[in-house]
Amino acid sequence: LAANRTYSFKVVLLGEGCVGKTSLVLRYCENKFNDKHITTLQASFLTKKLNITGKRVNLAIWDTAGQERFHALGPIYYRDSNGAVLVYDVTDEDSFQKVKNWVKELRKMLGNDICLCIVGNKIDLDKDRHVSVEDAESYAESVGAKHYHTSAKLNKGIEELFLDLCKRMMETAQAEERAKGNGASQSAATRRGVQIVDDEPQATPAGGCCSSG
Amino acid sequence: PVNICDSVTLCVLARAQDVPMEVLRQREVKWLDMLSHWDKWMNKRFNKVRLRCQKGIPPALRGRAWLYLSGGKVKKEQNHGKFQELDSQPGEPKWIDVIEKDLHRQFPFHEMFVSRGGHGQQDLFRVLKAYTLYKPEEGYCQAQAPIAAVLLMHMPAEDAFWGLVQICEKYLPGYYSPGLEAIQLDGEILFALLRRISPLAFRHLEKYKIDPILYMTEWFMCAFSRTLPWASVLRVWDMFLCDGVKIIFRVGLVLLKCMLGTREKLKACQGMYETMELLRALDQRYMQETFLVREILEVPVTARDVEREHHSQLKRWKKNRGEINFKSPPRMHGARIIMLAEPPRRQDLQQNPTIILEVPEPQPELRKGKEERNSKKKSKKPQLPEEIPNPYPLPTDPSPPPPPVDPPAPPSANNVMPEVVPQTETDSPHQQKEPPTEPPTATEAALQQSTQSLSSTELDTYL
Repeated sequence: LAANRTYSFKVVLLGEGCVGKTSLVLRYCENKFNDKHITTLQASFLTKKLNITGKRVNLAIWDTAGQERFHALGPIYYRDSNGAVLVYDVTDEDSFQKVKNWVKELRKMLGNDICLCIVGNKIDLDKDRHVSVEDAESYAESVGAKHYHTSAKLNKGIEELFLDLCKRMMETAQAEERAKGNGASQSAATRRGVQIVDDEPQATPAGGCCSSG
Repeated sequence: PVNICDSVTLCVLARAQDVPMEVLRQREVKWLDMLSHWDKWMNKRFNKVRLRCQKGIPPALRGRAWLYLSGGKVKKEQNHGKFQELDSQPGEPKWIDVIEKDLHRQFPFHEMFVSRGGHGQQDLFRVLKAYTLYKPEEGYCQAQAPIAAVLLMHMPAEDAFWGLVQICEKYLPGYYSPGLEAIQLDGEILFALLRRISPLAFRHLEKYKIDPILYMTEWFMCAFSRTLPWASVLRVWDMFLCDGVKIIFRVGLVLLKCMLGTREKLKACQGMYETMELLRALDQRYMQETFLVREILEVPVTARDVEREHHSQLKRWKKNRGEINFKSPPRMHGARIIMLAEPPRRQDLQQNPTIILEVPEPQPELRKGKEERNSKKKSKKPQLPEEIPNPYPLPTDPSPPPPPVDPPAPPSANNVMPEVVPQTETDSPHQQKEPPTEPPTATEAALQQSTQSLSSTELDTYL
């Protein structure tokens, strides 16, 4: 029975304007990349269904507006998130500093229940890199986040990023579930909108993980 | 040229053809008359101005009409040389950086903004940078760029700047200010107004705790310029600049009511995600120009209703969240109130030509062609039945319509006055799509642009 669960996770993408948040989510959910797109003003979400070691996972990935001014709306977007992907542009040092602000805010507002990923995007422009790999990775480790390098343009590192994040969110959910089973009161997972639904038993596709749009 | 059109293009072509050329010419004459006696019309016959805005401003005069309606014209004349002064300053580096990142991300399929560093993007930069110098305490907000871009499609940079100033200060004060409180407050106001307009939609959004910010941010901050098909955007702006923010509220209410207004529709979207998805994929039927305008006019929400709800939502805000941090000036509901608040001097309303043409020697060949076309038109005219339902005949209605569209023809020699060339209309729609959908391929876009340019040229007038 335990194998036939559906996890529903909310993941929010945050980061400065023009670092590639929309491009990352578009590449991951629809395998598209386009130079010509518009600034994101209205936060919205795309969904992705995964099957990880026989467990079904529904991801809702929220894309947000990047400009500092829109930080004011942040709490509306990251509320009830299970994971956050904090994106910076490897060619833009300032955007990396902005990631640190987000880490502080999320830890303060959501505590340690939220799984954090720090993502250096645009590695196709590595020759113009302004954020050192060591700095970024050691910072991520110091705040309990995992670090990834991606290129939405070349479709690099993105599958891995989200797959890892899903596994971590599943572990967190399972830990909370065990705590709940042990008599802990209101589960944080329930509060944050994780739905753990027992499904009709059904054949799960063979192999570790397969994803479908 | 229908074979290469997608639905958006088709819609535009259909709309452009909906208004018969004769009607369009008559409307242009009426608007020219209004614009040359603007204060009189605004003071004594504002209802008629409003009716004409509701019918749609003729494309060739839209830019000028918007500038007059918004009060941008008066502001520009009363601050003579201000834009040039701001334009010559380098600007704050922190704003320059952010603005530059956004220049290529506004209407990227519009012919004016399609090329990096092209004239559209350059002007957009100048307008937005000038605004950060004009209001350093506000700086730049990303949502201002689409507003400025729409204005730039209709007028030169200086005029677009003053139009932007008016929209940011009078129509939507506080929308773009730090903290984004005004837009959140308007979200609450929209939601409260919905209770009366569509109780079903209201209860549904309430049930799933869908914060208005999750669906109305872009609608309101961009005045629907990224949401509606292009023909509808223009009609909404015509009415918005005449009557103020209540039009924006009404559009929002119409869309919510149409999308979520029946039990049957709600059955299909049980849940927050399902509902948000539905509101993101608005049904084309409800956004179609004629339908939408009719619905907007029927929503029983007045400026006073908006103010009343503003008052009670502000009280609620202060109770729950404390004082509003960024004090904005009070909202002005439309062109007439703006004009009363900032009365123009006589010279402020004078129409100054933007381009003055040297009067060349008449070229007989071309002139002949034009005359032929003119007489053809004239001889054709009586055949038209008294078809043109014109509910607003002007006492001063001059009988001969202006010459037909004929941009390449030289100005006639007996016209001693310098001629005013209206800015080229580029009413082509950009790709009205949400980021997560696939934009058309380059060739598709190019084809689309070319048809649209063609269709918009047809609407240009040489006055």
